[in-house]
Amino acid sequence: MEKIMDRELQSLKKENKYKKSLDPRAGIIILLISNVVVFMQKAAMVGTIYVIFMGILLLVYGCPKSCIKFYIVLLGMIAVQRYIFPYAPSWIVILFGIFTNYGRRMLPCLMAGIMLIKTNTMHRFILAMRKMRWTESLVIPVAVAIRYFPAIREEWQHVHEAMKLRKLSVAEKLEGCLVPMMLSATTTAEELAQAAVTRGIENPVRKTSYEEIKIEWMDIVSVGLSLMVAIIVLVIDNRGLL
Amino acid sequence: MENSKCIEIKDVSFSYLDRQILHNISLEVRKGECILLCGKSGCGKTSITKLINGLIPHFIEGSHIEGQVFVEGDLIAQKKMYMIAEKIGSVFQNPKSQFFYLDSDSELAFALENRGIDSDSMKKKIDETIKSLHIEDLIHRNVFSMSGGEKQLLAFASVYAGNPDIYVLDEPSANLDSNAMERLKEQIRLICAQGKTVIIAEHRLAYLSELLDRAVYIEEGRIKRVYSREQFMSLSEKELALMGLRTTKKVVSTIKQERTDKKQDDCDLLVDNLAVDRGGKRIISNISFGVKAGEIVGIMGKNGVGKSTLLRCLCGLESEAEGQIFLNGKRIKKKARQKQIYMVMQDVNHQLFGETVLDECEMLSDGENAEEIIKVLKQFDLLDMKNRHPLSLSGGAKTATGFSRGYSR
Repeated sequence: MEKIMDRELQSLKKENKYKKSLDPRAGIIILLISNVVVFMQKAAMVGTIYVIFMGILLLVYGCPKSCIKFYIVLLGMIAVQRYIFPYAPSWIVILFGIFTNYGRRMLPCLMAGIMLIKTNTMHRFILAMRKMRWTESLVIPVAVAIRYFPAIREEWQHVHEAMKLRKLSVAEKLEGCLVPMMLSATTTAEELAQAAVTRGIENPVRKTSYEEIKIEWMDIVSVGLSLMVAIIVLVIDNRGLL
Repeated sequence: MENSKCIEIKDVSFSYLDRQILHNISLEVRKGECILLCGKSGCGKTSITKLINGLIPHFIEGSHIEGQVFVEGDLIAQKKMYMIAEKIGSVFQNPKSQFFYLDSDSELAFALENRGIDSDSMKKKIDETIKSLHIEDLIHRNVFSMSGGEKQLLAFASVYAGNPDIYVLDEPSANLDSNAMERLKEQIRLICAQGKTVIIAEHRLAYLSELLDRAVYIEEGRIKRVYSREQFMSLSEKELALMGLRTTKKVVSTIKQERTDKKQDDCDLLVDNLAVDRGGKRIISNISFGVKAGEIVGIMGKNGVGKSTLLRCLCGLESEAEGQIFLNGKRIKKKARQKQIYMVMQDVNHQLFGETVLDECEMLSDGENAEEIIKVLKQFDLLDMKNRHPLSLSGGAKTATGFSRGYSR
């Protein structure tokens, strides 16, 4: 038991050492830039440059696994468009064309989002939001939403297992998934709110923090580079150079 | 001048969604007292704790309350929640839904950050908390990697860091093993020694026996009797059982270390040299035992030792890495075990799919007639609640529903 704990502690420490943290504010700006790229480009092909750039950024910030995954998805989608669609019946192209085309365009946003989440704790997020002077009525719901994702995954595993232990028809299974998940979501949300309220989250004083976040030169360089690549990509796209 | 009355509940009745939960509750608690609220599940213990920490009336909607609750002379109903929060710290039953952040360090700072304390004194307070509660093993951790017991200790610690005068604990030991309970007990002992006022609603009584000053017995929303420590400790096991309470004495187990490897022909369920892996790690190995029909077997051990893994494997949620499991002399594999062996899980909430308690039992028992189900419900004391939604029941009744459903199968 203690050994397991030690191992966990060590792996946690290692993780923290390995991952460089992107300042959440810089991360949000990069996310916005990615959004602009996604929605302003005309041809999906040019966007590939931006996806490759984001992959490198992911690598720099210590998320090699995510980088590789996104590259594989990108390659897969390009391969499908190049080598399968020209020979496939038209209904397949219609069905999956939208998916591959728009999926590829959305990749930069997903990558920026993943980078933001993987290099930050929730505490740093909230701190950044407070530093940007967002109102508490916005900060808390956003925080709770982030907090809830891993909880949903845990819930889902439990419900899934409980269902294995009984014979259910497909309709019952669907109901059996949704009802306990939703109900436990509401009870969890309520209990969470109770715990937060009894520990003074509604206090109107200016909240303080035990850790500080600072924008460092690396954050500025990352934002600058993303901006540059984004402009290059959009210019190439507009002039139709590729 | 000194007002020794710390908490005063004056003739409070409380109803929630037209159901009367508390009837004319009156209770006075002196400063520095440790009060135990006890009674059957669903008796209203939790509601009383919520009266004190302000969740009733500030948080619970659809409630109707009569009477008044004073804490240190102030009327709770007229104070803002965050003002109450500085004086009263609360630890709840469910360790999973009490933490706000996802890492333990942030969690410890949560209450202090909310009050706007500067970061230097905050760090000092957190360090003090870590030292005095001996929770060095809990810092720098991802909360989702913690066991239920560790989460609960962390929840207590983050309340302790806020240094409240009054602690309200609602079944803090519900998910703890004996080891974690011992740690919790030491934590409570520490706050008692600091002269804090402590209110605990609890089912498990033994670990509190040295700490409590008075015990309040509640039945169906009424305070039946208030015992002094001596009176409460002198209650016999029989009296306790009649009141629906557990033992107040520490059970010293005297298990003989004796291997009971039985022959295959006289056991109905036989586990032979079982080993189970999870996530690439071997969790349990070399497990062999036999169980006869009608036998009740307790599996004991510390948190994380593999109890759940063994049970999960028995009911077919894990596959065996080595060894075999036999039922009535025939080997049964994973899929077949899922159908023939039922498990009531630690968090029953995930297992209750039906719309009513009755429906819940009917869903499982294919072909069994309604009378049979009614009989089962009666056996489990659930007949009165047969038309309620399973998830609206109290924790104990939920477990019983889970049980009766497994039983009616």
